[in-house]
Amino acid sequence: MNEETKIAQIIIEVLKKKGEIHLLPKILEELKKEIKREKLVLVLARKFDQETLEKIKRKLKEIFGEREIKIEIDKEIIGGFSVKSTDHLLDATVRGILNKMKK
Amino acid sequence: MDIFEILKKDLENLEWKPEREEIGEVVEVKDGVARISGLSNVENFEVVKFERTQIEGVILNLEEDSVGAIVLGDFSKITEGDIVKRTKKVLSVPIGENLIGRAIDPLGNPLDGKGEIRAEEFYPLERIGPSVVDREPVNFPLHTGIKLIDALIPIGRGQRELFLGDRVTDKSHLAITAILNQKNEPKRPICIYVAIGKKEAEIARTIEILEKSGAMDYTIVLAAPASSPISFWYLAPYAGCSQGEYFMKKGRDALVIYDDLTKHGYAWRQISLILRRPPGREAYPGDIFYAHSRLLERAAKLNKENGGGSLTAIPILEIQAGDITAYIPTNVISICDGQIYFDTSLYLKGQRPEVNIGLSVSRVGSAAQTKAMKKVAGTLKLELAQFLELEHFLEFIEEVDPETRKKLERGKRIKEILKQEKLSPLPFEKEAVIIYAGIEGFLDEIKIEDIQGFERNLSETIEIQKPEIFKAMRDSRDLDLTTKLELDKVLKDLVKKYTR
Repeated sequence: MNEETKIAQIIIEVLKKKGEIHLLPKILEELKKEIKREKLVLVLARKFDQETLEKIKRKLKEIFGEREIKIEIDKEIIGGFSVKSTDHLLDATVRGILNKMKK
Repeated sequence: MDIFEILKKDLENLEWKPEREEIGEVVEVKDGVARISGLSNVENFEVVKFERTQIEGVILNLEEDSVGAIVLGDFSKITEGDIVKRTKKVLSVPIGENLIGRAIDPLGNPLDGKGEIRAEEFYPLERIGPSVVDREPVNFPLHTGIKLIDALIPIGRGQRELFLGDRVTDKSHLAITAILNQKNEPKRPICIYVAIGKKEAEIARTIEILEKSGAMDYTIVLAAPASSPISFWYLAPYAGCSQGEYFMKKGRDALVIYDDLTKHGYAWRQISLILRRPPGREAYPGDIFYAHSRLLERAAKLNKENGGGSLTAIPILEIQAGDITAYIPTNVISICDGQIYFDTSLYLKGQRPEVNIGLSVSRVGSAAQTKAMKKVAGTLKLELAQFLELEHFLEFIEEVDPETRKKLERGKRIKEILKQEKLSPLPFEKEAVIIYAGIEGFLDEIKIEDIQGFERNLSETIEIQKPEIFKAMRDSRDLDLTTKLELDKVLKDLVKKYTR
């Protein structure tokens, strides 16, 4: 049995004991929201090699703390990168700079 | 310098530090309203920008994990997943002298093709009205140039007077007549005509009327036509009020006409329902009364310490089948300082203006009436009420005693002199002399069909032979004994011509 299933079992047991097992779907819903809020999306213009990627991830963890990081490739940004969470955006793409110039 | 070098220089000077921005993501878009997740620090009434389309929105609802925003533009271009950025600015509009004579939309963008507008200042759209200590009672008349209103239902500067009536009645044109009449008034007020949900052709016609008579020199037209986004309908009255407030704060007078608040109510109802706010009576949101009262409370007469400016509000309401007891009409009647009721049956009988005197009232305006008007119109309301009752009663009786006959004939003449064509305002001294002639019985011997001609003739005669009568009335705003005697003489001479 790995740790994750253990935690899950403990939660279920506690809920059963308290007679509040019917709240489980709601708890899951809230948890999903929390996970989504915590997730970071890193957008790059092209694929990087593993080493560089690790470097970037380490730096992001330094700034934003321990979070799940999803990597997306989008050629439209031309170059650079952007980091997005539900509430914040760090835009360092070439497209972003060009847009700023336009203004 | 060739274009590449310019670009190069621009590029060199460009600072590009990536900044951490606060964003949200569009979750859903419904008619004119978008729900956005994220944006957790956003404030109510803050402007946000939809990144891809550069359309702006205004935050109205703050919920646990999402916010609601009305879209200030074409909402069909916004798609799910669009990035929305904060601007950290509360919705505000450009204001100032440069807007006079222009036609603008609720955000202050020009609609008349006369070029960019340079704003002096920016005012927030939504703000609280002046407090009690900053105000004083109305004490200066706002002449509408309409005999019936100025004599019987006078409006003062800083007052809120509601115009309400059915679809067929001509409320808008009466309000526009009031704008036209401000041209030669002392301390001329700046007029703001707010058109909400009106046809574009109708707005164009209104502007043409104002331009032709030179009224655009002191008027701002703020239009949210029927085809504009629903958010514009909702914001238009607030924007118009902000325009007027600027002049009030400068110690000047302003007149705002909201044409009409029914449409504003519709817009707010639509937005509220889409935002999932609980519907109340007639599906209006619970705060519809507050929305209107807060808007109309911004009309005020400021006291001397605050510059003595004023903002008069004339909201217009369209009612259905003469029912003034519907939800919105009763609300706005109770908020305003009086109402003028346009009666369909009078309209069909051919009376112009089709105002029902019994149901119309001005609660504070008589304090602002000029002395001259007070003197001549003092007994008018009573006399007219007596006549209307008699007229009703005598529908069934043929023979009447001479005393009653006399009353009846005078009543008919008074009713005749109160008739007036739309868009032809009269200066107050001309209004006063003809009402004086009617009340004092000078017209009793004149045939009813001659009265309109007599009225024109009277004004002309005084202007040519005795201009000092009008001048004295204009200057003193009173009808003193010597002027009265002279006026009597002119009237007697003129009546002789008509009865010969």
